[in-house]
Amino acid sequence: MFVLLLVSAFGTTFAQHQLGNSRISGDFGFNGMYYIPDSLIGADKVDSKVRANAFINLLYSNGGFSAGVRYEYYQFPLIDFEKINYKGQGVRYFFADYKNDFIQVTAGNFYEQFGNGLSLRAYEDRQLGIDNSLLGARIRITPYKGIRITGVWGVERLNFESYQGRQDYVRGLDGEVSLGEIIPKMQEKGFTANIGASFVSKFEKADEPILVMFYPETDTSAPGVIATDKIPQNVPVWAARASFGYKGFRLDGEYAQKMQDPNVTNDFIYKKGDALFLSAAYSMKGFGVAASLIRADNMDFRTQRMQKTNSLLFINNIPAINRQYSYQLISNYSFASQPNSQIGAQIQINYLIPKKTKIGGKYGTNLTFNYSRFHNTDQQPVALATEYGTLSGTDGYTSSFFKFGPDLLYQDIGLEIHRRLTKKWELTLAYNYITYNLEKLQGHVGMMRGHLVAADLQWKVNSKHALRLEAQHLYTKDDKGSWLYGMLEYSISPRWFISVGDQFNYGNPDPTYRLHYFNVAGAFIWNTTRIALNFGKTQEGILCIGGVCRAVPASYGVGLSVTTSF
Amino acid sequence: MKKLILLITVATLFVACDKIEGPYAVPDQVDAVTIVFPPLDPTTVYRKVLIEEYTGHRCPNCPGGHQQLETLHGIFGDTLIPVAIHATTLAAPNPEFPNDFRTEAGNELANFYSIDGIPAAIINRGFEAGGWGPARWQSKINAVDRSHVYAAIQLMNQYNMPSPNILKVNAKVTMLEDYAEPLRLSLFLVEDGVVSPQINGTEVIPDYVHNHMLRTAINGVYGDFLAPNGILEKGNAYTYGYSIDFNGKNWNPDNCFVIAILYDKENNEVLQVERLKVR
Repeated sequence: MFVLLLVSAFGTTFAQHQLGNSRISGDFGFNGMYYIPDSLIGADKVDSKVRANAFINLLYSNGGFSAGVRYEYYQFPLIDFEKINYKGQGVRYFFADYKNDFIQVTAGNFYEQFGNGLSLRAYEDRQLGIDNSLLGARIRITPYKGIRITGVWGVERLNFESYQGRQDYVRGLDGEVSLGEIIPKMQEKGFTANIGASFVSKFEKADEPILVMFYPETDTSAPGVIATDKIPQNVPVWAARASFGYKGFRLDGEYAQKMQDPNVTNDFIYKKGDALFLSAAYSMKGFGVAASLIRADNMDFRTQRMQKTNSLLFINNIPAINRQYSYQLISNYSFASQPNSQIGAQIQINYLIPKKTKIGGKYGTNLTFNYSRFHNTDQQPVALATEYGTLSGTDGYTSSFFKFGPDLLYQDIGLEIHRRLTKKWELTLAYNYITYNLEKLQGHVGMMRGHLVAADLQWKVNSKHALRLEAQHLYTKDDKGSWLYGMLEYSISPRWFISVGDQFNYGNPDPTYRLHYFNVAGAFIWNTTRIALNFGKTQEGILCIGGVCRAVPASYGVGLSVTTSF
Repeated sequence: MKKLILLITVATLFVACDKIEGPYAVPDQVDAVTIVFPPLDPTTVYRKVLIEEYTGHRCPNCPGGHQQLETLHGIFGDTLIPVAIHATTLAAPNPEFPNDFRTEAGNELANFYSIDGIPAAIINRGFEAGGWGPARWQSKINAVDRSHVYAAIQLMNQYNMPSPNILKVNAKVTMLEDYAEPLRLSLFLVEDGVVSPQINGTEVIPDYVHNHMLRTAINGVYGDFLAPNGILEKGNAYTYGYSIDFNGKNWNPDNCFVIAILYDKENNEVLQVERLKVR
């Protein structure tokens, strides 16, 4: 509450200080919860029942100059964040930046992405508890219109741990040429074309040998050591990319290669890693098709070789290309991108059945079909690895580039129909058949094969009032069995919103765990401020955003969230 | 400007790449584990407790500590495994106490736990600067939660293997529960029945018998990582072999024991400890 008052005081003060070209802005977020133990759902008693995450961002700008600072208070964070050790408080983000048409210079913390992120993606996702910002300097120059060169140097943030004494840092260089900007005639004719290349290298001091274990024969093991002079301290990744577009057609591609990087996630192998991302899309009125392909092998690239905690100290990001859903019942079966071993493709076709036709109805009907399938990569151990009985301390394996490995990781076949029934009624129906490898993606046993049927019905009562009903059914004999979900949401725009919902695990193989997870929520919005209150239960599972996931512990309680910007 | 950019690019590419030639690591054939451990019955395994007693032959109160340790050993039996670490200035030799029982490993551990006054002990490596005095040892041992048996350690010693006066230590760790943090396995050699002067109050006992004396850390002070990838799942087993040369040492192999300590690398808590006679 004290923080809230402080912020509102700050907000008022700063809002009054806008002199000349100077401007001060910012935003504030508070997310708190009162936890109630519930042994049946696995919500353990927590040490401190009331917990909260809070931050405030302040930004000053004047012409080409800007500076910002963020204070974070996660001293007693929500249990999700405590679980990933995102705990502490302090100013963990500050920067000063100057830019003009030729140069941009940033000092302090910054986020950056080269191309599709295969070589570098320093980013923040507050919901996931990821902040991979670099503390250092960045220079971006534009020597000629359409040509950009970016150089970065920095130490990557590791939650609330001190930067002092760190023996690792990242440096990188990226160049991009936008032919459309250089040759305006191209753009005028509907062509776009970009090419780019990047080089990113991490340094990490090697001051401790790595012990590896060999198993040359059955029941025989022998220790071995990777001496410090055999551990690469500089590990580079290079990447090249190109994109091309003409009217409704677009083609994107990027290839990256990582040099020797023995680390804990790849069992200390010396094989080079590589990744390929290809994407093609075509759209015209009423029809669109998009297809993409990804292959990543041994591309887990972090600033510390002994770090294996999910999402910590990643330098790059291998994107997940599967279709992302907001359906509650399959959120626990979202595909998590596998940087060390994945090959797969996704295709999506959209078709609009024209309006005022027999099938299309008065307003037309949208059909969306998608299919995606991901396997691990093909991996054949090298002769020395077979002899040693382990991949560790060898070149690991060879991999046929486009060959799918034996393990299916994830498959999704989906069809979605969206139709506006009348001026006031809208309906979306969806069916998905999901195959999800529980063992490879969550460390549990077996596969989950499930059928999801979902319906979303909206009734616009009048220009301000709207009612939405969501119903879902996941049918599966695997994992925790089948689920039902229902949610009713009433909104009075632009200020109010309330909802009630329930998830029911009616098909759990163990009758004791056929539980309800209810949730009641309400929100009030006033200008740029949103205050939301909710009460209910959350099941244990995972939360994935763009293929990056974190574990979500079971919880039960009352939550309050406040966000505002000024 | 173009030249500058080119120069920076070339310099970055040049300094930012290490090329390592193989072999990267080779198995140590001498330390290969070639023996087969007997099958393990997890129901017969219980959690044992490690007590590291810091002591010194010039420490007047240390015989009292030794006495307390023997009393506790009588109470807890083989579930309590003692190691006597001779450290601090009171363990340094002088003409009256000519033997130096200090070890590199012992000195480092004493330094780590900020041991200055002795007798003091650390139980299961629970961190407290300075350690605990003898009066608190029993309550600290009682406080160890033995309801979780995380792992079992099996030890097999081969003396005169592969050559005279070489001890080959074979250790096998079997996880009995999942464990999320990295573990280390540390092996000590200790000796009983070492006869050497010891002060007791104001009296010097010339033929004092020192027991549980740390002689050396077999695989470094802090041991080795249990699994390089840190994934410790129930049922996983890890075997380790180490060799130690008794030649030129005044250690009596008949009085020596190997102590195996499995502990959490993050908080140093000892999860399991085992002891086996050298021969």
